[in-house]
This record gives sequence, C-alpha cells and structure tokens, in this order.
Amino acid sequence: MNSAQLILTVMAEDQPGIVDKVSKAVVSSGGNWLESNMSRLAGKFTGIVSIECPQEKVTDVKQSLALLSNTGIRVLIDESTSQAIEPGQLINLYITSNDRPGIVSEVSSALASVGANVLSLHTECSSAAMSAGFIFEAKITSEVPLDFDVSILTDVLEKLSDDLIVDIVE
Amino acid sequence: MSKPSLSELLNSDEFTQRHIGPNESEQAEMLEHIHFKSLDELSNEILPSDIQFSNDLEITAPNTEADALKELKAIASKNKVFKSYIGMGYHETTVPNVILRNVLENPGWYTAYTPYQPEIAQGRLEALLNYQQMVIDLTGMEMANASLLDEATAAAEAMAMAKRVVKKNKSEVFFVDSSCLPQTIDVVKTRASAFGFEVVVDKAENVADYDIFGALFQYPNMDGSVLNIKELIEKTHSLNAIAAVATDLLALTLLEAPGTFGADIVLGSAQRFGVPMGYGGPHAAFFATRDQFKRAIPGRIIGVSIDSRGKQALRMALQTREQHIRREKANSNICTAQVLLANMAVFYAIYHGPKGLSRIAQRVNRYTSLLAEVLTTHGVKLSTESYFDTLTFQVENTANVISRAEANGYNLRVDSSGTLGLSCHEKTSLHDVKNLASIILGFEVEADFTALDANLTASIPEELTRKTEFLTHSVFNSHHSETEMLRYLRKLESRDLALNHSMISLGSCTMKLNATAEMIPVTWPEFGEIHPFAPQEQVLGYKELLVDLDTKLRAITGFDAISLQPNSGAQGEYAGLLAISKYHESRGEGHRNICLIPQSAHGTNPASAQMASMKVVVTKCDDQGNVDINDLKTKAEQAGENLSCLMITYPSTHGVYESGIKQICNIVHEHGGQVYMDGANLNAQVGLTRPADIGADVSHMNLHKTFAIPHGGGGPGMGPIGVKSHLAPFLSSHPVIPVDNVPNDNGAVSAAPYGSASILPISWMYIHMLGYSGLKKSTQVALLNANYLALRLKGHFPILYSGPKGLVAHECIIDLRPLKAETGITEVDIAKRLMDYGFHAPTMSFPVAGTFMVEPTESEPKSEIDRFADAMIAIRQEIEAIRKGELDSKDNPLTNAPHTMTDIIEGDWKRSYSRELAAFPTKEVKAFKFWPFVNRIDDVYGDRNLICTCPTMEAYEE
Repeated sequence: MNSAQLILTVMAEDQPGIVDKVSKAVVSSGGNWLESNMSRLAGKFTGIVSIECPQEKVTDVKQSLALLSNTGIRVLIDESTSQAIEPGQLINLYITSNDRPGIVSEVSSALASVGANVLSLHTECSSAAMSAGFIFEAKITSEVPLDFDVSILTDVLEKLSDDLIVDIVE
Repeated sequence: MSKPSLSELLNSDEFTQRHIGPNESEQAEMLEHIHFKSLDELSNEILPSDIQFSNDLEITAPNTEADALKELKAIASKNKVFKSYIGMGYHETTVPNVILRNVLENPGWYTAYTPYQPEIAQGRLEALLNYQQMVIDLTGMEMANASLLDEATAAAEAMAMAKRVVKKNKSEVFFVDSSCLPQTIDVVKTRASAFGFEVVVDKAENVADYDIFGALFQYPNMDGSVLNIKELIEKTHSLNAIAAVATDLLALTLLEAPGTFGADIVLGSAQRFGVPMGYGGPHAAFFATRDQFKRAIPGRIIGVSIDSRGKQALRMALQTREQHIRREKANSNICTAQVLLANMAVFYAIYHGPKGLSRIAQRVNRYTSLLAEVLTTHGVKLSTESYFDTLTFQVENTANVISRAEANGYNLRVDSSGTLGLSCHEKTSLHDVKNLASIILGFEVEADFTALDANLTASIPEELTRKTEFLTHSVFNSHHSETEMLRYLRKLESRDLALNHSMISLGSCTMKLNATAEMIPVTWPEFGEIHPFAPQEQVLGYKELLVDLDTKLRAITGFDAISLQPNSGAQGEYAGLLAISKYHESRGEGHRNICLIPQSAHGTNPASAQMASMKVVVTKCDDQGNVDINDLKTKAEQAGENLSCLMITYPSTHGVYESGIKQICNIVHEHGGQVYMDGANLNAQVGLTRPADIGADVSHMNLHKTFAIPHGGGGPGMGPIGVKSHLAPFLSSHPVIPVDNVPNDNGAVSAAPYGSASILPISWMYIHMLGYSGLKKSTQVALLNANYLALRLKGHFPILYSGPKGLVAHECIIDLRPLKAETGITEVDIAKRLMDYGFHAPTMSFPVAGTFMVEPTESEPKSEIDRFADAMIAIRQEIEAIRKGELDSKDNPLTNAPHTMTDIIEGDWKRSYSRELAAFPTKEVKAFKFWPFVNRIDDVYGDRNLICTCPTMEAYEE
C-alpha cells in the first residue's frame, strides 16, 4: 500500500477548537496525524502539520480539509517528497539589531546565501530602554553541514549592518 | 506681632529651602491636592510600616552654606599640596582657565544628562566625537569610545574584549607586562579571577614563553622605559593572541602610535590633558581599537547620522552592544562613564592644538633629559636607556633623599625595592630640575642648562619616535585665541538642554539640584592638586573627609562598613557581587553562583552579575509590577545550594515600595543567599528607611543621583558600597595605598583607592548642609512632588503601577501604550514633542517598553512641575485631535517633532498646523525658548555604517 505524506499549512483567526476541527477532518477522511508545530500571535493561529494517508485517500483528505474554510480555517496542502537528509549540525543563533523594514528578509537571505537552513525562527520587536528605538531580536535554529565553520554565519550576518550582533548560543 | 527668635534669625536650615523646590505654602497646596495634611502623614502612608525608620538620622544638624564651606575649608587645609613627581599614571597639569570656568565650573556643561535625547545634546556629542578623534589620531587606531572609568578598568575591559574577539585560540591565560602600573595589574587580576582566567605577570620580552589569548604592555612603562612595542606586538600576534597597549596621551605626541605597529587595543588615562589629579579622580580613560572589533567594544560610542532633514547629526551609536539592551549578554556593565572629564581633555587638546601639545611634551621630555644628564654626570645610574618623562634609579641613601625632598615640598616615588622614581610634567620648570637634582645628589647643583641642552641626545629611540601626524582636523587647529575658544565652548553649550534650563525628570536618575556651594570645593587646590599616592601624612584633610563621609553614609544606610573605591554605580554593583562571592567562598560555599534578578531590574544588574561569573536567573513580576514572591520562592528553591544572591531595587524600578520586601529578603537568606540592593532609588529612602534595616547585606549608593554629584553629561559618577559586617572583610583593597580595615590582597576594582575622590566633597557638603532634618524632608518632598505630578497626569495618562491607595514612591510610570494602539503616536513622538515644550523627556521604555518613567525630585518647584504637567496635558490634547482627525495622522506636531528654527523659517509652510503651534505651543515657551539644534535623528541610518570620527568642516556647515 502506497502511503502519501502531506504537509498542511493552517491559518485562522484564533479561536477555540481549531486543532480539534483540523484533526477531525484528517482522521475522518482516513489520514494520520504525524507531527505539528503551531503558534498564536496577534490574534492569529498558524500551524504546520505533517500527516500521512493511503495514496487512494489523498483526494478525500484534501476535500475534507477544504471544507474547513467554511469555519474560517484555511488549509494549504502540499505533497511532500521524502528525501534522504544529510546529517548536519544545529546552530542556535541569537540576533540583536536595530529594527528596520526588511530585516527578517535580509537575515534569511544572508543565511541562505551560505547554505544554512533555517529550522526555526522566533522574532520579537520591542521599544529599547532609554532611547526607545525599536530593537529587533531573533532566535534562530539553523542547520548547517557537519564540517561548516560557524564563524561564517556570524560574518555574513554582521555584514548586514554595524549594529547587528550575533551570539552563538551553546 | 511676636518677634522671631535668635535661632530663627540665624536660619541655619536655610539650605534646606534652597535645595527643595516648593516652598512651605506650595507644599501645603500640593499636599492638599493629593489629600494629605502633612509630609509625615504622606510618608507614613506610602512606606510599608514594617520598614519605617522612626528615629532621626545620626547626622549633624543643618548648616548654612557659608558655615559648611568654612568647615570643609578647614578640613581641606590639612592636606598639603606638594609638587608631585610620583607619576604612575597621575601627573600635574594646568587646566586652561577658560576651560576651568566655562566647562568644569559651568552648570550648562555639568548638569546635563547622558545624551539619550541626542537632538538636545548636540553640543556635548560634538565634544565627545572630537575626543574620539583625538584618541584615534594619537593612538593610530581606527575607532575609539567616548571614555571609560579609569586606566586600570580600561585594561580589564581590554582583557575581556580580547577573549571575546580572539579567534582560533582556546587559551584562558592573559599576559601582563610586569612593568605595567601596579594598580592596573591588580584590577586586571581581580577581573580575571572573577572570569576564571589566569593572569601571568612577567617581563614584557618573555611574552612568547606563554600560551595566551592576549597581552597587555605599558608604553612608556613604570621604569620609564620606552619598550619596543613593535616587536612585542609581533610576538603576541605570532601566538595568535590579541595585543593591548596601555599608554600616555602626552607621550604619544612624541612616540610613534601603537596602531602603526599593529596594536589591537590601545588604552590609558586622559588625566594629564588638563584634568586635576584630584586624589585619584575623576578622569576619563580612553580606549581605541580596530574597526573589525566594533561590536565587542565596551562603553558608549558617538556616531554620525542624519536628521529628518538630512542634516548631519550625532548620537550614541551601536547601543545594541550596551547593558541597557543586552543585559547579561552585554560586553561590559559600564553605564555612567567620565564624559565631563573627556570633554575637558579634548578641549585641552583643542586649546593647545597639535603644536602646543608637542611643545608641552618636548618640554617635559627635555627637562627629564636635562635632569638625567645632571644625575648621570654625578654618578647616578639610571635604570633605563630610553624614557619620555620618567627616570628610575638607585641611590646610596634613599631615606635621605626622601627627607630632603619632603623638606623642599617635592614628592618622589619610592618602589618597594628602594628604587627611586620621578616623572616630570607640564608644570615642571628649570627651577624644579635644579631643585630635584640638588635633592637627589645632596648638594646645591649649579648647571648651565642651555649649554647642557645643546649637547643632549634623544631619549626616545629613533624607530619609536613619532612620524605620523595627529590632530590634523581643523577643530584642533582653529580655536587658539581665548576669544575663539570661549565662543566655541559657548556655541556647543548652547545646543544642550541641561538642568539650568528646565526639569529633567528622568526616572531613577534623580536629577536634583547640584548646588553651587557643593561644587565650589572641587576646584580648591587642596582637593584638586593631590596625587592619589601621596604620603598619608600629607592627606590628613582627605582622611578626615573620607572618615566623616563614611560615618554619614553608614548612618543614612544602616550599614557597618563602606568602600569608597567604586567610581560608578555599575562598578559598585560589581564590587558588591565580588564581596558576596568571596564571602561564600570563605565559608566553603564557593559553588554558590546563581544570581536572582527581577525582570524589571536595570540592565547593569545582569551585566554586573555576568562579570562576576554568576548565572543570572530572572524572576517574574506580577500584574502589579511587584516581584512575584511565589516565583521567587520557587527559583530560590531550585537554586538551592547554588544560590548566591538576589539583586533587588527598592523601591522598585516601577516606583513602588513593595510591601513584601522583608519577606523577599528572608526567602533569600533562608536559602543561604545574600541580598544586594541596587541603590538607584535611594532618594526615596533617605531618612525614612534604610537598606540595611530592610534586609540588604550590601548596597551601592549612586552619589551622582541621591547625593547631588552632577551627572556631567554621562559621568563622573561615584558608586560606593555599604555592607553589613560579615561582608566587610571582602571589600576592595588597593596595591599602592592600603585601605583601612581591608586585607591587602582582596583586589582592587578601580585605579585609585578612593575612586574619584575629589568629587566626594560634593556629597559631603550636600549631607552636611541639609543635616538630618533636611535629608528627611528632601525625601518627603520627593515623594510629594512625584505624587502631585502623578495625580495631575492621572486623568490624562494611565499611571501604570502604584502602591495601596494609588500612591507612588518618588517616581511613576506613565503608560503610553494604549495611545499608541489607538492613534499610532509613539512614546518617541511624545518625547520629541516635549523638546518643543522645552523639556527633556523622562526615561523611555525602562523598565517597561512603551512607557515614560517620571521622577521630578525634591528640587523642582511647583511651577515647573505644573509646567511639565501642562505640557503633557497639552500634548495629550494634540493626540486627541489626531485621533479625531482634526490633525493629520502623518503630518502633525508630534510626528514632526522636534521642530527646529530651520523648520519655522520654511518659506512655503505646507503643514496642516501653524508655525506657532510647532515652536511656541505655550506662552512660557515663547518667552524662553530652547531650540533643538537638529530635527529627529535617524539612528538606524547611522548604525548601518558606523562613522565615529570627525566629519570635514564642510559637512558641519551644511
């Protein structure tokens, strides 16, 4: 029996019962919930869910999830192609800098340019003590090859601007 | 009509009413406004009853200004002003009179705050930028900061920085040249031991024998010798280590710059550029490094940016490095530095110019050479071949030389080995050269100095002689008539908003009156012209002053012992945490390393804890803004045997006397920890409660807050610590001057034994004039002013936290977040609009993001507090108009604030509001207007590519 892996991206206005509704839609149409990562911010709910189901059930699952839009839950569905993943090392980065438009894009481009894969990204923007300028902080977990020189990450990020500081968190 | 009594006519508590802003009838009015009948009733209500101090402080009764000055003059006269040839980092220098009167003695310069609001600080920012340029030029490096606390702490910072920046080097060992200044070696060792580094002290030439991450050399060194630092730096680099060089600014006009030889960090003291020795301070230290290390540099850096009109503007750059942003991740805990003194040093350089400085240096060197010539001709063997200003040698009878020197009013240096040393300086004359020769040789020397001078050989090796230019920027070559200098100083001063203009209600900064009577003694020669290592018999005046100040501070705080060594609040935190660590170690509990810190703490707290190698655990605050006691208890339990201490501020940084404070201290003590109390809010305690009674084991006092030392634009400060008796054996020691009752090997935290001793008279005068009654009343009026202001603002802005009955302590937090959510107007907009109303904004976004923290202090009169409240209310109404659409949401007086003269003279005024509203929003402002020199500054622009050197003159003129 062929098994398909689907990756769901879920977006909704935060409300009670979103996970419940999505999981019922998956299970009732023959799918199996594998792994998920969800978060709530500014009144919105988003999540990534990895499910699998028999190949012949894929259409049912997709239809069942599409119906959720009636309750305000949008689901984007991608089929995942399983790849053998090279083992790498995880680097935890903590970035502090002045906030400015496009900083997240600059940071992610810089990381991509040296082949670092962003596994998780938490960002926060707050009014800095004393000067009240906006400070951008990001916690990033990045995956790089085993023989990768970590200082390359620091160098490429620090080139973005003089105020940007990178800490490699042990 | 009853006639006044003799005692009333004497009016010996007159100063209390000079210091306190509101007079008696205004106080009554304000008390009524907040529904209280008396100051006592107010303070009894606000402070928790279990911490109230119900006695009078054991301090003298009030004194008039004249009486206090007379008394202090008598104490000062017990100091003997000798001609000081001790050197060791402190040299006699002449403060140019125009700088003395117009900077050091000028409230326009010394009452300013740290330039967090750069639009109203362009004057001192330009001075500091010039300071950075001066340091960059003389050291030959790429960038410099805007001062550190002293040479020894700068060296310790260099070590910490070396460890941060060194690449591909796993060593934990730092090398220190044995010919470095002894106080530098001690402070570095103390810092290293807290970090867990090993320090090796050896002759400079042996540096390659070790596996190190960094090395520190002294150029010229303690023996006077001018080391070949080119070779030493190369050796250090061959070990893949960082090379730091401690040096002397005057020497650098004749010596080649360490940067030319590849130094990574260059540091030292700027004292001999026109700042009095002051028995150890205050002086600015300088610190320069490579551009590639800019993120690792400690301290404040001034950088160039632009304002909203594209005009060049200065501000503090790369704040993302500093403790108020990075907290425990900060490079350094440094907050207040030595701005006023840095500015004096650069003005000295501007006053003399490169040629004038060279001339002074050459004269110093030449006199040293003449003296060397005379001595060697008569058989004295000098220790070194090369020298700039310092000679070291041995004689047959050291004691005789010293007693002859003393009889003639000269202080020489005697090392522990009996070697004699002397360092010539700016004030040395040929007469002194003759006298010194006679003193050393033991007979009256006759010499034809002109003839001798003709035949002198250079004392500085050719390859180390200065060839690179310095101070070429026009600012150092322009103001050489006194008129030009006077006007340049005035021009810069006029761009800055200081306390002599309006209230600066920065929360937790306590910007109170710095009375003139307090400042006058600082420039008395009996206080200013004393070397920190002068013989104890010559400084009986300072001894008496320090003992009396110690007594007064102990009475005020309830502690058993005081250390006057830390020269800033953050330095005090560090010294206090070290004492705690040593205490635990002494009891076999050195494993205790966890430091609990509430999330509302000032950034220096976690930064200092990190420097003391403690692990920071943050404890939560509850909805009322108070320490969440359950969370504290849990974390104390979790820390268990590893709990070192708690750092707590009282009243809290939220402006509340937390009622659970005694319980909090008990919890920490029960788990074997110590309580460190941050003294930033001591202005709400003096006379009403005492840190030691509350439960603190150690606390620092910010003398530049509670005890009236002026803020200087970012320093000087003083942060002595008070401790309970069990911590007294662990206070800072000093390698050169033994500190009473302290074991000699505890380690020093500052270069000088009593920190910046010459500004301690300010606090002594403050306490002595107010007396026990004035001190208590000051605190009560501080509470009155804060609560009156809070009540006036309450209907217009939410007050974020308060104690029971809605009362605050000496400061309050105004919450601006709801307005931002509703209208998009930010706390920055409001802060900049306050400039149009002639005010410096309160503290922004600390301790809570999106708020103002307001502390009027007791010195502000009712009229000024009302004027501030009126301004805030008027601004609130402007925001309301924006909300209603009566003012445009993008083009309004707030988003365009601050307004400059350039804005107002715009030919084609297209804005949706009038020029009048922009610049003269009230009639008081119209009558007395302060014009921000630049429009709102774009920090982000300036930080993208740091420029921290002086722009060309054309750029200034645009």
